[in-house]
Amino acid sequence: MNVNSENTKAQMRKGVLELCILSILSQGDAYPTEIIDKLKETKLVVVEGTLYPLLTRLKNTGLLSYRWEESTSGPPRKYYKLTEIGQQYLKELQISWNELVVAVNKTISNNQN
Amino acid sequence: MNKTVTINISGIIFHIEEDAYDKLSKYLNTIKGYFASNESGNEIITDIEARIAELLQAKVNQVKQVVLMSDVNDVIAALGSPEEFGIDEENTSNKNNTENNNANEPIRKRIFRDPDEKAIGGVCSGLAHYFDVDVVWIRLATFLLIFFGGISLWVYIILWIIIPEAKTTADRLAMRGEKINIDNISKSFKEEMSGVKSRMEKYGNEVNESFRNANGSARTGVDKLAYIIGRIFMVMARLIGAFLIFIAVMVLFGLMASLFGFSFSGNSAEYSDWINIIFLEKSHYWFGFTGLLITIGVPAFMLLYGGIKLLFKIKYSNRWLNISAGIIWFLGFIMLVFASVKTASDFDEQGKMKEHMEFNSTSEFITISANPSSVWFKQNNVEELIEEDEDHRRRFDNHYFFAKVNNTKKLIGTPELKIITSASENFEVVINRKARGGNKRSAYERAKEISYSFKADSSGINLDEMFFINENEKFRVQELEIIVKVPEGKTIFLDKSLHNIIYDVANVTDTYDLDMLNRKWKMTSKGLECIDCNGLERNVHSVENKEKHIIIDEEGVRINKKGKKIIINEDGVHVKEHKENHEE
Repeated sequence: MNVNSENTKAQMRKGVLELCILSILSQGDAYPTEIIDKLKETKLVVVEGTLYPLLTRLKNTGLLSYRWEESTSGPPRKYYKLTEIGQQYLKELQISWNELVVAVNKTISNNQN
Repeated sequence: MNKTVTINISGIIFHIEEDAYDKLSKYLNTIKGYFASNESGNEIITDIEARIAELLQAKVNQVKQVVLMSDVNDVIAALGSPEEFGIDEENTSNKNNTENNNANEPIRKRIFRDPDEKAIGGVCSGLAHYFDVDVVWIRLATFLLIFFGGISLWVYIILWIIIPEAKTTADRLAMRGEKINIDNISKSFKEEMSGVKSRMEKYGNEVNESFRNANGSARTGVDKLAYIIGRIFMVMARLIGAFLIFIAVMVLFGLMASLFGFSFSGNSAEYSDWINIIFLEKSHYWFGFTGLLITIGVPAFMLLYGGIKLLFKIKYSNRWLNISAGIIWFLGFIMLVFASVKTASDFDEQGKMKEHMEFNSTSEFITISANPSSVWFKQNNVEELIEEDEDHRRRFDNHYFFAKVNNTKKLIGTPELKIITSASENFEVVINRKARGGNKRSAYERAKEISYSFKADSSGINLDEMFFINENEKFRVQELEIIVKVPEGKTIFLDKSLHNIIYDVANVTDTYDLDMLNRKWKMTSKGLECIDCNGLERNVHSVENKEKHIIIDEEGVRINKKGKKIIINEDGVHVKEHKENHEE
């Protein structure tokens, strides 16, 4: 097997991508381009294509809903909105994320000592 | 100068350079392929297209109106290749599905002849691959069928003609592909059905969601439906194919059995005798035989061919084969018609030769008897009868058969006797010889050649039971009619020996021919009337009479009368006394 740090990094990003998308949407409705822009700021997304299957899946599982909005400058935009289930789901994710961060940090710092 | 193409992405119109367009459409097709089996594939693609439109829109303005290759490259770089889209759980499974689907399509099994493992034409090894059996069994079955089944050789040749040889690697892969059997067909059929169902449901949902989405899935929905219908037809075609093969094999088998069976069976001597005597020339027979073989055989052969093609879904058609089959059939048909017309035309006309004899008999009463065949055979040097079985020989009843006479074969026929009222004062005998021929003259000449004799004197008439058709004559339904004319008021005795030739003699009491025998009949103005039938039942031949005195059935004849019992059966004649009446 190839030792490829890029691949591992990508896997790590993908793991938290769902959490990030839900967090972005919890601050207000957004359409994919806005979500991408925000994710790009934090370098969480390398290629945009990743987002679309993920959004569709979250929508299909009922965490997100969407509405169409006309755009003056381009094609109609699909605005995503966090559903109640989504909000619940996000809270659970945030809790487990915080726990994970603590656990991982602890493990890493222990090893360094 | 570059050519540009106008395209519409997500409802936005772009002018795009041709090479850039090619790249973009290739990229979209890759994505489509990647998400093809994803339930939400169409939705994802629509979203991605919207994003592409957005990105491209940013690249064009009033001054730069055309999308260039570099713009497309930028868009693709931003979106990434499908492989980079992320491998979350759902996508992984989708990807596997995609692979499976892709794998199913090209390796759909097809039948090919295997040139690498061939013994003769590679047909057996091809079948072995197709049915996933060891070639040894197929070869064994083929060998056995060819030597004991007869028609397998035809099937082999047809298969050799219609099954294409595996030439390319793809052919060889398809040849060894997934096993095709009823299980797999129904499995893939069910998969397709459920696929269409979910697609239809999704289609319904998406109509509500978006007009644009609907377009895409309507197309796939219709495609899928067409595919399902295609599948159903495929299964039907296979069933029909199998049915056609069955019919064709039956017809071919029957044809072989009847044509070859006839000529090679134990009665071949008689069969060929009939051929010689019916057909004007031997060649006519062979024309007719070959013609019949072809007119029935070729359609059966093509039925077999079509059936096998349907069964194995062989699409390529052999024009050469179709055309030559048509030509051969036509030639065969012409041969058959030629032989039939040639032969039948020689039966066209009937000729009749009348021999009339009036004999001045003062007697009021004569006996009419037959010269029985056993005597006749001796008188005419008949050495041997050529006849399929004894039973037939006994019933000469309007039947022709061959006999060996002085080392040549002659056809023998039986005459018919009729008795009518004479117009004169005398007994008369009329012999009508009849035959058929191409024209009246030849028919007459042929009728003249029938050799028959009888004796008549004042005491009675003795009629030969048989007549000869001369050995050089063809069989043209030669018939001989004997008409005995009895003057009114005179009486005849019909001897028992007439039983083979008496034919439908009219009488006052409507007595059956055989019951008329051994009786005296007087010609009256109304017709023949029995004068010694008094007290005797007419229905001697009926199975049972009311009192059950006389019983005639399969077991023999039993006569019960006044305590005496007479039994005639295979063991002979037994006379018994009833024990209850006569204790001994």
